[in-house]
Amino acid sequence: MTIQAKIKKNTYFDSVSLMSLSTRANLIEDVKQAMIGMGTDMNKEVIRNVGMGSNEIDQAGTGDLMITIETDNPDAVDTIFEEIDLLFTTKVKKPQKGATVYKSINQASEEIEEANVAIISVNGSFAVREAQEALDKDLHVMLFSDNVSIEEELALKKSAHEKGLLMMGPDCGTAIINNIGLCFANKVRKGTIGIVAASGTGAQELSVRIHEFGYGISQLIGTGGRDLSEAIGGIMMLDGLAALEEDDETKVIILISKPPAKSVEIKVLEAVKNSKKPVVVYFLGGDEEAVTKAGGHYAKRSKEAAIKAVVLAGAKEEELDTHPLNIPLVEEVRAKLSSEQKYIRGLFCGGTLCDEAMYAAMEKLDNVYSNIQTNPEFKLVDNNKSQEHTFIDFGSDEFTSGKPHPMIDPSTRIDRFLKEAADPEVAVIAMDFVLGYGSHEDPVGVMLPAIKEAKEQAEKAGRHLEILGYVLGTELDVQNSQEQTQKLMDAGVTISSSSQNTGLLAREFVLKGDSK
Amino acid sequence: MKQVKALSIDKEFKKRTLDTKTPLVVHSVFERTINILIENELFTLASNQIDNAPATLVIDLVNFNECAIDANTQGFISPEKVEINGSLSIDLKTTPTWECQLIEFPNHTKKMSENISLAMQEINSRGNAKWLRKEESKATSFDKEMSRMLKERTTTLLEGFSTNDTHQNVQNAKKLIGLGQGLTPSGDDFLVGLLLAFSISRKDNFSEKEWGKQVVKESKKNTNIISYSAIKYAAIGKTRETIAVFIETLVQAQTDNQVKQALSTVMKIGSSSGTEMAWGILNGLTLLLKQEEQNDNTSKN
Repeated sequence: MTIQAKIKKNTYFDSVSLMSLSTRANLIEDVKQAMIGMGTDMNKEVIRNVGMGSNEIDQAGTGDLMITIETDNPDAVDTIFEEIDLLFTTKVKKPQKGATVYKSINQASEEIEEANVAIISVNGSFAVREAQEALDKDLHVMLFSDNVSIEEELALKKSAHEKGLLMMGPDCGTAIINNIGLCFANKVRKGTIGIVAASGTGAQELSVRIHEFGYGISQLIGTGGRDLSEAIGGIMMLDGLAALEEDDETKVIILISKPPAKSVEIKVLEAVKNSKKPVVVYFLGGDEEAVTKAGGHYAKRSKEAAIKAVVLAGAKEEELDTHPLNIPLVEEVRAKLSSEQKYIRGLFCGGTLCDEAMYAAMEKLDNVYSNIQTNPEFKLVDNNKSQEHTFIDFGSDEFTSGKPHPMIDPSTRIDRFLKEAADPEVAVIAMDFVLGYGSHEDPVGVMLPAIKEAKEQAEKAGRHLEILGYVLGTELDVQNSQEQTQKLMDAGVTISSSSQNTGLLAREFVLKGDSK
Repeated sequence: MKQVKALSIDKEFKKRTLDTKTPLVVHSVFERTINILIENELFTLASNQIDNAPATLVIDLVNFNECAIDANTQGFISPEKVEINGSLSIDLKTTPTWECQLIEFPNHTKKMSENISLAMQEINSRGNAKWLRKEESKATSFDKEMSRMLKERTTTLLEGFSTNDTHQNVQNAKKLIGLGQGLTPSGDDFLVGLLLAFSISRKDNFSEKEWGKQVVKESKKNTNIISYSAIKYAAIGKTRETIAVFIETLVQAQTDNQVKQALSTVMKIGSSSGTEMAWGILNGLTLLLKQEEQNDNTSKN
């Protein structure tokens, strides 16, 4: 074991950068552990307590930065410090060339006369004021911020509706307007299918599947997750549907939402009935009969919705590569699992991806628990502790308060992943890796060391751990879906080709003739 | 040279602008703040993304990346402007003054007590300070030792206040000063919270005042100047605006949502600094509540 330290005199980094540097330093090859922190006496004491003390550390002052590493490979010390130095120098993000910063919506709208959309991402306390200012300037609004009350949301949406503007959000994370992805969105080709979505990752999934089938998106309008609640009444989904009706480029429309309030579902289906364009309705847990009665095209799952839309847009279903479920793979995995391994653990960054997988599991399995379960009986008692089949949406408020969304920083689920992997009753761990604008630059890369560790530990314990990964993205995304998928395959992860198949595969892997 | 307007100036900073022209030197540079030393005292230039804070000048600039300012660059401050040689000139004319004023300890404490319990539960289950989380997480031996020491020492300090032994309480606090990985170490952030809570006490409690003074004195030697500055101001009831709003919310909020929202904003400060300051505040207020309760019982007896 080799312990080495370096001191950077009078060096200050903000706490977020320091913790991020420390985390990244711990991921460098050959590093057993690394510590980067200020040179106070108390921190030196901690270092000494864990046997990492050194003469260099003793010399550090309170304004100095200490870097201490422990490694089993003495030859790697210089390389490790070089790599840590590199982490320091790559920290500062330079402003993008050509970017102009405006201090207010007012100023921006005055200086860019042709602008007609404002994207707002500010603290929830100021979000309503900013959104109203944008509407007053006759701008459509995409409001990324959350922490806006339902009453304020209703007021904003009414105000936008009266002015003939779109009020996307609050808590709206995904839109594609005129082929430009806003906030979290994937790079997909332009086409004739329009989407109105009350679910961000659900909309991403649909756009990616449509792209995969060779078709494209005319517009993707987000509504915010609460739009189809009783209180809001689907104002934005109805306005979005009306906007796509008017849009000449849109030939087919898809509506997507998590389970809507019944009264709002009726209202939306009434609008579907009056639509002149074919409308595919994919509401999780939706009512097939009601959709069909309204003249809509019902879809139970996301891929099914995408297939129906492309067929309505002119595709021949028999010519599509729809990736049916790989039955031999299911048999193969079942054979590897011991009788003790019974449960699915779904660890998701995308809310709708989590929901869809959970719904698939609930069709055939009892005791499916989640932090986003609408049935209180199956809501997790403690979100940090899994019960039987458990599906976690790491993007929900209880996990993101004070932290970045897991699509921005997927490392937030590493600890949980390792915990689940160590549970001998776990058969399958399903995870999503969401690519596109706004997402982490290498979401798979972040998880790889943990995946490797989990696989090794399971092997040592004499059991097979099935890790099922789904990469949501296209070959056009900056992260490149093919490269990300390859990394997972190299690590021994089973790949699912869609959100729909993720839920179905996970479910089928654990079914051993004891289903509902 | 980049020319910008100041948006607001803290009262302490304002005092420094009264002289004709005082030299300054840049102490440290971050993306959204720059610390400067004026006669060996630390002041902060903050971007418009940062809230008001003691000894801080908020300016109309999103970040400092484009200013290319390095540590040790010289400059000056005058009644009209702050200038950092060749890089940045900040117009101080007509800048409104801000001063931190914390809410007073309430007469009726039932709702505040409930709000404190709620905020503590939130931090335990969702806070971003690992050592305060109930769940176990994967950690290096260094992280584990750090968590252990923080837990043990904060507990010892809090328990010690029941004794009124100021000397021992200062020694207990001293063991927290500089403990933690961040720029403002976790132990310091916790002490900032504790000092802020004590500063709103209605009682002019000598032992707590004296304790605060000694903690400030010790922190000057045992932590970095940026963290020392926060401790120094907390001891006289001065803190950044977001924290002041959080304390006000704890005292006044009538709904859980208000508490959760204010806490969520605080938890976004730094890596875990906001959470740790909040933890100090909550524990400090709990101590004050216990004191009130004891006093009530004594007077009834």
